[in-house]
Formats: sequence, structure tokens, C-alpha cells
Amino acid sequence: MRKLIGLLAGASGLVLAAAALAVGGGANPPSNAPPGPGTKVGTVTARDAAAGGGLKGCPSDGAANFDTYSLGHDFGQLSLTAVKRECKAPDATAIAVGAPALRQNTKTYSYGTCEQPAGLDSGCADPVSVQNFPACERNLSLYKRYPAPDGAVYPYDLTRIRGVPAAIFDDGDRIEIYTGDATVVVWGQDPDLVRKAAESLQGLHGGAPVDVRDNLPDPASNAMTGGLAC
Amino acid sequence: MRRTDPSRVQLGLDTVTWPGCGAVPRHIADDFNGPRNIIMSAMYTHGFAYTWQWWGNSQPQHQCNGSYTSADGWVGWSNIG
Repeated sequence: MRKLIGLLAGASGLVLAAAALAVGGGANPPSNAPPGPGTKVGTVTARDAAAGGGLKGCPSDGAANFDTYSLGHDFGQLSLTAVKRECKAPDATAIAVGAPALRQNTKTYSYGTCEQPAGLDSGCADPVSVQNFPACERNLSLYKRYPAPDGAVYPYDLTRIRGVPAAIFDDGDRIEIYTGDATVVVWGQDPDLVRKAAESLQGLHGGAPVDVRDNLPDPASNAMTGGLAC
Repeated sequence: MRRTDPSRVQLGLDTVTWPGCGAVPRHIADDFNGPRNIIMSAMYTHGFAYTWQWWGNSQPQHQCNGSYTSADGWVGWSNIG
């Protein structure tokens, strides 16, 4: 039996997901013999492999060089508790082993707070978070372009929110909205609250305000297929 | 299908001294990607096949010192034979 071990950076700390999979053909690695260094069994493209050098630099003033959205200062009973802009250079260690563009390039708005679980080293997730990404770095195409070794794609359901394409993940605990040159990810633990938050976004598109009553701007050309240049 | 729960399985890192908050030692991280990248790099160095999957699991985590961190959403798979 061929075994695959999945190493991941998880939502709540350093983690390991391990799975023993019976060989079923398909997209599993083609040989039991250890391949040479750099052998890839996935679908990393030349563009992706080079993406580490093709990303926009991080603005020195800490601004986000893509559209960003939030829920304003308050969302129902939840107050804005944190705003975090993060932009890092791609991880050289990961690029060296053929990884796609792995970096944090986000602007995140967190609402409400959570209680650290006693006795666990896991942190906690606030009730609602709105995490903005440049669509050239995060978009819907990634799920199908980078499946599991057996070909499985992380599952989602397509929908529309405020006039633009969106995808629902994890039973509604995550909704991704594709608008303008951004991918907006709304996180939470209550699917109804997450949906309501996704429908309540307000922000800036190309510097122009987008009100909560407006439809969201259509996604930029090729943004959802991964063809939008950074 | 829900795949956030497996990510909460902890590695056996009890021997690592983590900076902490209060009486209970806790892990404060800048991100959740470094150890994965180190492991993937080591697998690569030793000739194991690998691939990357996009999960998008980048939910911000509120840490005990008030800071936030998250993963980058990528999963590394390596064939261990």
C-alpha cells in the first residue's frame, strides 16, 4: 500500500494530518520508488512555480494594493476588534521545493472576540472575520488546479452574493466572494452569521466606496480563472 | 465534508519550549507555515515525491497575547512509500 502523508499549516496551530491511502490509480503518485528531487505529482504550472518572483511587492506604507472590504465598525452586536495587514515575501524554503506562491498577503478585519480554550495550545477564532486577498494570489481556480494527490478537490458550493460569484465552504463556516481584484473570505462558526456578514460587506473598489446597499463590483477579467496578473 | 477539524490535530511538540501567556505555556506564532515548509523541504531533499493542495484554510486565529495569525491555505503532500 502506498501511503501519503499530508503536511499542513492548519487553522489553529502547527498540525499534522496523516492519511494512509490505498493505491487506486488515478492521480496517485505513479511509482513506489522514490523519485528524484523535485519530482512533482501535482499540477504546479510554470507560471505558478515562477510566481514567487512575479508577485507585487508589499507597499512600504502598509496599505493594501487591492480592493478591501469589511463590515464597518460594528456588525450587529459584534464590534470591530482588530485590523491586521500582513504582506510577506514568498517563503524561500517553500519556493525551493516547487511550491506555488506561498505567502501571506491579506488585510483582515475581526469582529467580536473569543475565549482561549483552557489547556489547549490552539488559539481561537473570533465570531466573524473578513479576510481580503488580491485575486491574483487567491481565487476559485486554485481549488481545482491544486487537488489532492487522488484528484479530490476541496469541496464547495457555488452561489452568488450581492451580484457576484461566491463559494460556500465547510458547511457555511466560510464564504469566499469574488469581486473586483479581490477575493474576500468571510469566516465564522455560525453559517447564518457568516452569510449575513457576506451580504453586509462594504469597502473600496479602486478607491471608490462600495456601500452595503450596492451590488459588489464584478470580478476583474480572468480573476476567477487564475489569469489575473499580479 | 469538513476539513478544518483534522487541522487541529497537534504534532508531538511537547519538547519545544514555546513562549507563553500566563501560567499555561502556549504557542505564539507568526504564521503556521514554517514547520510545514521545513518538513516539505526535508522530504524534497531526500527524494520523496510531493505535491501541493489548496485548502484555503487561512482563518485568523486569536492568540493568547492578543495577536492574530493564520495559515497560508496550502497543504503539502509527500509520498512516503
